[in-house]
Amino acid sequence: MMSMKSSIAKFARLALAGAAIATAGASVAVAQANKSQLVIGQLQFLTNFHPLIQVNNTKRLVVNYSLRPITAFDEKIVNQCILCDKLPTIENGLAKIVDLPDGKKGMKVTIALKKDLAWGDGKPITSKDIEFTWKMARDPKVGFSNYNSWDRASELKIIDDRTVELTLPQILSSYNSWDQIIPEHLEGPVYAANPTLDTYIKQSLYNTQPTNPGLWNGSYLLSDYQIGTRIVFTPNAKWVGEKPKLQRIILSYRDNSSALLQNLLAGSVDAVPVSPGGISFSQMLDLRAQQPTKFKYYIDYGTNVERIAVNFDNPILKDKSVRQALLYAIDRQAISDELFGGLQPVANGILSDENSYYNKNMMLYKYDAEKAKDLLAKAGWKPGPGGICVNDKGERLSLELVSTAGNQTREQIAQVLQSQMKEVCIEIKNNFVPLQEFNGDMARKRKFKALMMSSIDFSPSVSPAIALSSDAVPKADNNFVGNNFSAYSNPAMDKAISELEIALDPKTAKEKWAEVQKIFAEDLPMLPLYFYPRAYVAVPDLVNFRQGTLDPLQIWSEEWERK
Amino acid sequence: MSTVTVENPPARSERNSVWSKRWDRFRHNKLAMISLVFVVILALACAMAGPIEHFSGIDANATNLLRRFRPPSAQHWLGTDDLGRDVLLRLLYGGQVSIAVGLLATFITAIIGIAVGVTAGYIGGQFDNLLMRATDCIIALPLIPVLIVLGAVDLTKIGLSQETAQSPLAVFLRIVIIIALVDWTTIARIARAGTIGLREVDYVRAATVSGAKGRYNVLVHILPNIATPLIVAMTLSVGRIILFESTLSFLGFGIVPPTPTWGNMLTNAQQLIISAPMLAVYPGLLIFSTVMAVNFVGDGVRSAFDPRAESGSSAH
Repeated sequence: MMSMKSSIAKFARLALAGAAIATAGASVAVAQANKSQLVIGQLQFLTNFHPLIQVNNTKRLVVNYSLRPITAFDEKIVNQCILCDKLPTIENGLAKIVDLPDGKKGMKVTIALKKDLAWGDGKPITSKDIEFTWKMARDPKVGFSNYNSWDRASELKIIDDRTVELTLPQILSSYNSWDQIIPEHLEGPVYAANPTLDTYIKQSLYNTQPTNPGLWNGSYLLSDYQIGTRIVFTPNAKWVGEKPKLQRIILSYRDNSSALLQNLLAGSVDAVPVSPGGISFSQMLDLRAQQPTKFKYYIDYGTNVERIAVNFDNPILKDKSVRQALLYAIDRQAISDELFGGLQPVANGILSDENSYYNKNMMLYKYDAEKAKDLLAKAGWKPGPGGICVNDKGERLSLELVSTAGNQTREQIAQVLQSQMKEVCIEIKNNFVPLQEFNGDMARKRKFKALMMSSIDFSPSVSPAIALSSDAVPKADNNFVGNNFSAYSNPAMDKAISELEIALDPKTAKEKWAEVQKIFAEDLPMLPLYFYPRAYVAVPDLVNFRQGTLDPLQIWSEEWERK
Repeated sequence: MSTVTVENPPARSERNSVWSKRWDRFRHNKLAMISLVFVVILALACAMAGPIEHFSGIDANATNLLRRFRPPSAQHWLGTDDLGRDVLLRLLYGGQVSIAVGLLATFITAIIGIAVGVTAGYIGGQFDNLLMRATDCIIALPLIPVLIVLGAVDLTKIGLSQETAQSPLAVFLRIVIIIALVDWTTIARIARAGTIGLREVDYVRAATVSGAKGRYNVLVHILPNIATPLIVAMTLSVGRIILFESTLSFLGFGIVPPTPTWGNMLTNAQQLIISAPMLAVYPGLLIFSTVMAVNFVGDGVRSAFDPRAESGSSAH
């Protein structure tokens, strides 16, 4: 009997020891495996993978892993060649100011691609791909998004297999910023068979076969995906630049930011972006307070401004005094200090005060409820029943504020605005709509009635024309391209922007930026709230993570490494 | 040709005695009585939110960024939330909406479910097939896209003015109707299963042979005998619907903030679970207690209506 007991005990000890060794071995294996991959938690799966159509901030953060732009701004705000051989500048002669046949001044910009660049399927990247992308961009039936769009060039001449010369019909300070290109050998036939936006976007290989390696040219290829769940990137063997250190980058999607946060704490994701597409800024602050050393917190100055578009078709908002009263009524400093720990600086315009082009001598709107009331009174709005102002016709000063449902930070801000506006007799009716409807009907088709809260990125390579010029009002004629959702139109602003776009030397550019900011502050075509810093939370063993780049940080993802 | 005699309806005094026996059985069920008292007190407290707000001088919707996350105090008994609003007042206002949505949507869900289930079960044949396949279709529909489609219905297209379509009452009724349209299938299946089991029993067949019409059989013989599982299913759905409302709010079709509901308070608190866990605990606890209480009340009602139960024997 004793011998049986001792045998059982021996067996149990052996079994436990075996299990312990197996578990330890597995843990080591998992730990080693984890070092070669990075799992990034994300929100908002893309509606399609096309890199140049229906582009928003969330899409830019995904496609740049596997499709690189010609040029991009790094963390030192220096424009870098990514696919090009040498950055075109006036100094090196690759960009020239020329007289055009119509008598106007224009530019000729020469772009030479790096040697041996290839698409993921091995086909070389050539001038034909640039020409194809340029042709599509110029096609009004398709409508590329207007971040450094190729349609700025009126002519394109192929010099050789790797070199093209672009003619700009005007002088542009952003002449050496150029977006991604798409493969002619794959997308050419699709475009030929589907010449309109609706059919092309459905039939594009970026929509039907996004894992086709020939669509991508970055250091990583989009090698696998499951709609709404994950996107997997693996190294691109044809990439001629620095070889990627990580063997897999997995974007793992969750339904909401709370789930993302819990997954980060539990270790099932290694990194998360901080809004857009990730946890909110206040969640990051909470996490940092609770877990200061478990993760590394990257926070850098950002150019993405949260703003409220004001619909100029609304008779109440046409009145400048009302727009100014609205901004005076919002205590943006308190919002920044209390909700975001002071790390989301108040926006006085479209440029942050950290930007060298920021104009200190423009009209500022420090919180002043009394001034807001005075402006409303001058505009004919007097306190009425229920504390809401009415005009001579008895109409209430009631405005609808549209924002995205499920974005808790925006919902929070909307409620604070509602409360603060009520103090100066303005009634705000919040309308939180699903993202799809928000981006579609509300923004692009301008179906919002009064106010709409969203963000817009004015990175150094982006002209303010995308949201302030009168031809950037989205409408059927331009395939709803443009971010001037307010439908703001002022010839003085158009002129200032045109002059800014052609200002090549920093001194003139600064003067022109000052003019644009001054008109903006006077007119308030949108109500600037605060700037989103660029922020990311990641495991501490992730190194060479260039967080502060002004163009998407994924452009340098081959440098990322876990040690 | 035989003469058919249908039993006379019971006299008023007999009916009263049946109800008093049921009430006796119910009030001897301590858990059910405690739960009923809890639900009544909670409902009364929620109904008093307006007067409490008036007398305390606190605006439940006014934000104050300088008073965020305050601990409980004499002024704010449960402290303040992430925007500096009184948590207790918001819980009481939230209860008004949540309880009303829970009860009204359950009631409509039950009417649709019982009507479909009993009709299918009693008539049977092709009609049963048709109704049940329709039910299967509703069950098979992916819930979130259906909610998005239903939520996107423009009420102005059916003749309502913009003002009416966006009024709080219209938003409330829209939520109730959306929930009722997608949530009746469970009750329909239970009702059908019970009806099929009963329609062939001797006393139902005897009544049919004696000339009783289908409606009489359903109302007198079938419904009372399938009431038990139906009541249980209905009490369970109250809690589910309270949470369902928060999903709709998340999708943008629910009650619009700043109007609080327990569902949207719980959803919002998820983000603050690290820094202010009590903001999730309070609405969560109320939803939990309400669901439990409604379940116990349902259980008590079921026991009280069970003709086999002896008076006082059902006390737990």
